Amino acid sequence: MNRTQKGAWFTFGVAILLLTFGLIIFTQMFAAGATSIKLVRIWLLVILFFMGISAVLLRIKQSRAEVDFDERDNSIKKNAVLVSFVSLWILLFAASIIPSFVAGDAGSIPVCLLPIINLGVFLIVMLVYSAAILVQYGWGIKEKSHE
Amino acid sequence: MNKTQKIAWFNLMGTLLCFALGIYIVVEVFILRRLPEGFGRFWGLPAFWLVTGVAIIFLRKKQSPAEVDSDERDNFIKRRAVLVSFVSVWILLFTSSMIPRFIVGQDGSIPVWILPIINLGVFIIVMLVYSTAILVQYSRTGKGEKS
Repeated sequence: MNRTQKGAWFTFGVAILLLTFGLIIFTQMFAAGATSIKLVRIWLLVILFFMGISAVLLRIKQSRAEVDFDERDNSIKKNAVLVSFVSLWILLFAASIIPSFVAGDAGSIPVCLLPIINLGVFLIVMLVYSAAILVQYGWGIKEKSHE
Repeated sequence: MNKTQKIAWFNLMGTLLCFALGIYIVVEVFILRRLPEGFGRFWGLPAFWLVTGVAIIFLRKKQSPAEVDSDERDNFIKRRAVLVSFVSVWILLFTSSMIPRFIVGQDGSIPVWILPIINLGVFIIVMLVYSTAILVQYSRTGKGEKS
């Protein structure tokens, strides 16, 4: 596994952990009873532990001669940017339409929710970006094994 | 001027026209608090048809019969432009989620129908950045070839 793949797995993991963390916080806000601070703390520790392990793994190279990235890695990353750019517009379209279904056409939305919505969009786009990188590497490996 | 450059120019003109139309509507409806009358109601439509018509004519006209639609360099330039607009979209989204706080206050709220307008504005600005990035890259590489 090269550095780009490791980076993609790292981004994928962090995005999933943060999205789940956000969902926990969001559901706790509307759930009856006291919020579980313990669960939030444990989840934060899991995220920090995962980030620490990923940072160490990213520094470890397969061999001393291994380059950080080559032409193929760049091409894969550029394709992933294109995929995530398209997904971003689909998500933004959804983010502008869904509130009118939830709050009604004449409804309003608190301004403090705007950064949270955009953060959610950002995390999903990062998920798409890393998934696109991993899928392309998966296809590349399959093509090589067919040859 | 090749096909990618022509598309970028027409993209730029189209987005500037959208921008002008948006500013016109905001000034008329929200600042002057009146609905446009006479030619002011439909000037955007003939302007769009004009830009589209000119674009179709110029895009069909090739420099020579052997001219290809796009080559490796065009693809490279377009991908870099996507990268630039991808970065710009995050800056714009961050700004668009912060500005409402300064206007309506921390505890304020905004109508849900404003969200599609905000995101449409972001889309128009990103298209502007995309076409400008393409044209700037062509002008830079053009200068490079001369020297």
